[in-house]
Amino acid sequence: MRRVWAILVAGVFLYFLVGQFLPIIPTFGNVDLFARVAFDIINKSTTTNYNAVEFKKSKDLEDGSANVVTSIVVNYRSFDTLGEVSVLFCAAIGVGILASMLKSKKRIEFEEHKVLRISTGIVLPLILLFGAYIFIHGHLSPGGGFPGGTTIALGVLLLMLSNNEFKVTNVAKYVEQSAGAGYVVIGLMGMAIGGVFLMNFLPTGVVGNLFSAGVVPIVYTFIGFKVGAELSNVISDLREG
Amino acid sequence: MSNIIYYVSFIILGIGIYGIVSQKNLFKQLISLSIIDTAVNIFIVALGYVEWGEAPIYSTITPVANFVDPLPQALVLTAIVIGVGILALGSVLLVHINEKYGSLDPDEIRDTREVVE
Amino acid sequence: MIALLIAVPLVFAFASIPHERLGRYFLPFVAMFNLVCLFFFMHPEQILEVGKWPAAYGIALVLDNVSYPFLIFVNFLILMMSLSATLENRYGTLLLVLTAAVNGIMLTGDFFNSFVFLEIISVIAYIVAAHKDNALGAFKYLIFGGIGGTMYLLGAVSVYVKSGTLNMAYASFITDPMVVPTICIFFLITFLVELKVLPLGLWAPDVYSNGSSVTPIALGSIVTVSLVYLFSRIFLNIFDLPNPQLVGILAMVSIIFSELGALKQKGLGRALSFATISGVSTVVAALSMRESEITSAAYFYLFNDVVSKFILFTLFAYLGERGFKSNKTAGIAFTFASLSVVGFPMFAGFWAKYYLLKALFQVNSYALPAIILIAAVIEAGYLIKWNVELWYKEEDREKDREDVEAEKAEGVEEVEEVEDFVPFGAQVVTLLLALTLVVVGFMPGLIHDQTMSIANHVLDFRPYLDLILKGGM
Repeated sequence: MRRVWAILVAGVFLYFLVGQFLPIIPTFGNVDLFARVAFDIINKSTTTNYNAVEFKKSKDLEDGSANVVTSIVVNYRSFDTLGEVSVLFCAAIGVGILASMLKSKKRIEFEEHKVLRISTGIVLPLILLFGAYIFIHGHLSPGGGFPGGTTIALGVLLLMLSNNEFKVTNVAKYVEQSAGAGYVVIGLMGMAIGGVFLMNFLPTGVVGNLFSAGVVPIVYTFIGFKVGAELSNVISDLREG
Repeated sequence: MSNIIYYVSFIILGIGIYGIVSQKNLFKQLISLSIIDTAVNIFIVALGYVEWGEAPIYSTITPVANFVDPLPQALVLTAIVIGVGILALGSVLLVHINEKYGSLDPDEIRDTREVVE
Repeated sequence: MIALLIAVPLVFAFASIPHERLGRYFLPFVAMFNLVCLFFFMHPEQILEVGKWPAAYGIALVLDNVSYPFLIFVNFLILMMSLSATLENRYGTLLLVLTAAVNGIMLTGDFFNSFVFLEIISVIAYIVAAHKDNALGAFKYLIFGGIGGTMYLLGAVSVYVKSGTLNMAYASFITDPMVVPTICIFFLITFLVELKVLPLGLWAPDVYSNGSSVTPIALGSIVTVSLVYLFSRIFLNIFDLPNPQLVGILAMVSIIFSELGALKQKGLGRALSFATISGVSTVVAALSMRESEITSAAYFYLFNDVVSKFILFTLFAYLGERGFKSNKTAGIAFTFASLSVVGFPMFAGFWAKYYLLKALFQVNSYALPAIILIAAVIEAGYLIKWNVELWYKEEDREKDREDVEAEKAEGVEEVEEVEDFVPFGAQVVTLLLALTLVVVGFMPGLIHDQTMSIANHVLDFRPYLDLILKGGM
């Protein structure tokens, strides 16, 4: 009976999507970018006149990151990202609260493994370095604060798997706190300097240089630390119980 | 036929909805929710594809813009992170339920509840 | 400037991580700060383009004549809750983020931004719903809310595909009216879930009846008000509601079923939860009519419902079903609130129902009035029953069989803790709110003028468009 209902509900939904929704969206690949705000965002001309952007040549544009997705995430729609960080923040707190309410305080222990233990010592610095590379180069290459932070948290997870004594200390909490507050403070600095919350108040430099894009790399570094600390906390909360 | 990726994401979405309604096990419901999330993310990224467009990053290989729409990708980035948060939260809730009732099956949970009350 | 309403709570939330109790001490001050800002420094009709990006490209925060009264009301409720609720260790931090999110969802003029705030609200709601060891109810909510959130995302993205921008005003201006109903179905599913209209709101009774002093108030009052605002913004102001008849019928069915459900319940908590569902369904049914008098009455109804349910749930959380013998003040507040819910003359509830019925009769609609009257009769039945039962409860019956069992289910260690004790803050707050209901009952103009102004502004799209386009396209 349950299955019949399920097929019925899924069928109605699919019927709606295919019959009603599909006809109104453009066919795959057939997108008119000129009719979307994305066109101006790609060419970094939302406040100025159109001027084709060239890699390593254009400079002092309204936004300086070579990675357009990053420029949307951390610059044009930075406010969304602030919200997104808060979602992750709340989820991490929630996991902490709920895990601390568990009655059985059973810590998950892993089997000691010598190969894992020794190789962790070699690989871990590289993982952390790679995570830092990802979020520092977020405005130049694919990546950014979220993947970078996740990579760092994976390093922490590896450490946990290899070493039963390892515990995530309160340092993670302080990192989370200062990184989160740092993001908002950058926003407020924009408000103090430019009069608008989350404004990019630093010079944007040449597209494609490491030191470019104004506050974007700074914000992504904060996000990287915050996400790394938060996910480490989540893993540790789930483990400690 | 070019729309095949839309159909694929719709079918995955349908599978997710079927899973949520048909499965009794709460963990399977959580997985179905995550499948729906994935389907929607595939769909949104597909909506931004421009024929022959490249990844929206200025680099030495693509110094001049011939890009797919970057905005849906940015939106999906946000949506993925939100999905992760909800998944983590759901799994902790399941650990709680399992501790309290000793099961993740609604029928058994109901039995346990009646014994308790 | 208006970004401070979101930024300040967030900063304090992040700052309160290391000390577990810090959040709850910050909360009243932050709510107070928001209220002061709203009253003295911010006035309607202003727009803030976050990061100085033009509204179509970036995110615009809009404070207009619709969101302003709603913001004041919600921040007032948060202040009241911060005084009345017993917040455990890290809940204060969560509620600070919730403050930022409800302020954000009311200020934002962007579809995707509202999705993000909606998700913050729902993540916090899942955590708060799990208060008092109620993980099962919270998980149910998580599944329903997860689907709802996904649908909202699909809606927001299809708006972008059809109009090329995510800004609400531009989108409604550009989007082809032919495709709006299809897109709105996605939004509608979300709102039916989050506003607890019955087939999709089945999660609500389990969540609200957990006997916590935080959950039903944070979710039932604060979140509900902010979502009713978003509902009216999207369906009354920006787009047209698709299938208003269908929504109306769904809401009416929801009213009837929830009232019957409330009548059937043996516990007070579940009865109140069903009463909340019926209250919000009435508001949705009335809003789906899209008529200024009715809309105004619906907001009045929402005001009364939210304030009275605040009192009822708070007292239920502290007193359970132990009666008012030793707590006369609490009993008086409880009775006032239930009389107001029923619509007894001299209380705000009377005027809410009077205005609603009058406005409905003016447009020759008779189905909804009939259902509201039937619902009022059923409501009167069970609420008066509960009042009588709680007032005349014998002292020695306090520990009768039912009660002991209920306490067992709550968890053994809490039995000692909740002995017939209402904290001073909660007593003051409930009494204050009960007095508000009486004052509004004698001077309905106080609220009615506001709701009329909201209704007139929300049904007129032009001012909003002008504000964002700054007079020109």
